[in-house]
Amino acid sequence: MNLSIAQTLGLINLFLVIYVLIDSFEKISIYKEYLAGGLLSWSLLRKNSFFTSRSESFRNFIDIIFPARPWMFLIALRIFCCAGLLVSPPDSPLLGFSYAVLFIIGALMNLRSLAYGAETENRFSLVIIGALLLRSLLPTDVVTLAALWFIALQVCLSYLTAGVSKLRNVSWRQGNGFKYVATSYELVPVKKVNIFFEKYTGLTQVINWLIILFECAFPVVLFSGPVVLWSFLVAGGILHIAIAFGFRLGKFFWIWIATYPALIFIVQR
Amino acid sequence: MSIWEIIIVLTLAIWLTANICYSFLNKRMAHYTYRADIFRLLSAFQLFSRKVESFHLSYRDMLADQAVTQWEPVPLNQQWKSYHAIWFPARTVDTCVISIMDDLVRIVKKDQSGFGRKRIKERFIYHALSHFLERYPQSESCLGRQFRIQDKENNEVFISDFYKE
Repeated sequence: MNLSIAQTLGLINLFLVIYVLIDSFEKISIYKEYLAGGLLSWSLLRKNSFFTSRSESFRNFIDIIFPARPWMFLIALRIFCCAGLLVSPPDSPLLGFSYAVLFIIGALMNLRSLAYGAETENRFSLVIIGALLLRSLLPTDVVTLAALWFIALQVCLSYLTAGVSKLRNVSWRQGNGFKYVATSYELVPVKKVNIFFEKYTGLTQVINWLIILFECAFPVVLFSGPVVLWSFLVAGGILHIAIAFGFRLGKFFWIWIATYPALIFIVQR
Repeated sequence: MSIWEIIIVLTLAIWLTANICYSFLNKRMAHYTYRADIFRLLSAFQLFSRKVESFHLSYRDMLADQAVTQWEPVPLNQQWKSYHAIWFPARTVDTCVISIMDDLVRIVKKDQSGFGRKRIKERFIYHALSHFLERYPQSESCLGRQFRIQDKENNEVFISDFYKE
């Protein structure tokens, strides 16, 4: 399967839009948590020492945009930007504007939720949005290629980091990391699944090492042929679907899969 | 290449290099990036690498006659549904509470005495957890609420004082 630049960017856009829409509607659906008394209310979050130790002008600025009402307006604006990404023709100024708004709001989301730790999916989405934003500023062949390389290298780095950090962890190194995860009811709240993986220790050890191997070896796709690439992409897809159903982290799937078209394009060149 | 092309390519290259450094020198760099990278543009994706420790949260109230109620467990894990793979907004709050508990336990384990450190009661996470528990009903005559965190084996890891918001 060969992808043109337009098709590659179109596919990345599509998955990105799905992620942003799910994320935005999820946030709107828990609107109450952003009001006074909620765990995500600004009246609570602003008490975090990260904010209280900042300059007064900085605090005045965030006090304007982070309370529930303006914040929900920004979340709604993300949804409109998604519509902009879907309908605007390639290289139109609307595209750049939408990416810029999505990038700024995504960055502010990280800042606002610092007290509990920025959401992993959102952090990763900024990598993609940032690259596409820079590309939209100057959509030449050189910049487009650089942006796609950047996305491809970032996804390789994300898997490699995950693999290496698993190797640094004793449980994973001993082959028990996956077992601890899959048998934890807090992470996978399905008793049948917990019991199944508790029972088949050999299988959990094989999966444990397959995950580490997949993550550590992922950058190989950049230097190998289409067979290796597609094997890794299929394995990655399966891994993310399993994560989505098992751990209920569906947004991981959309945002990580969004980078795959960039990999396909880079490798086919 | 035009000057603008060079600037954009350089920006991407610097961002990628910084991310590579952050990924592998995470602990050393986090000290600096915590305050400098306020938008968290640098990330180290260590998906499920840490050993999973599960904690249980519960609370009880002190009534007007000084009697205390039974410990009430706080459910933080909703029943699994297949559509949660696509749509699961409740995860946000559960994840926040679990993250707070993890941080609190980490601090408690690090420093039992609190001597020379910011007292746990003065920390944001302590305040956030007590704030979160306010959503559970309590009688008007309640003098205060107390919460505790237990590990998987039901050992008490942390117990708060009675407090009134």
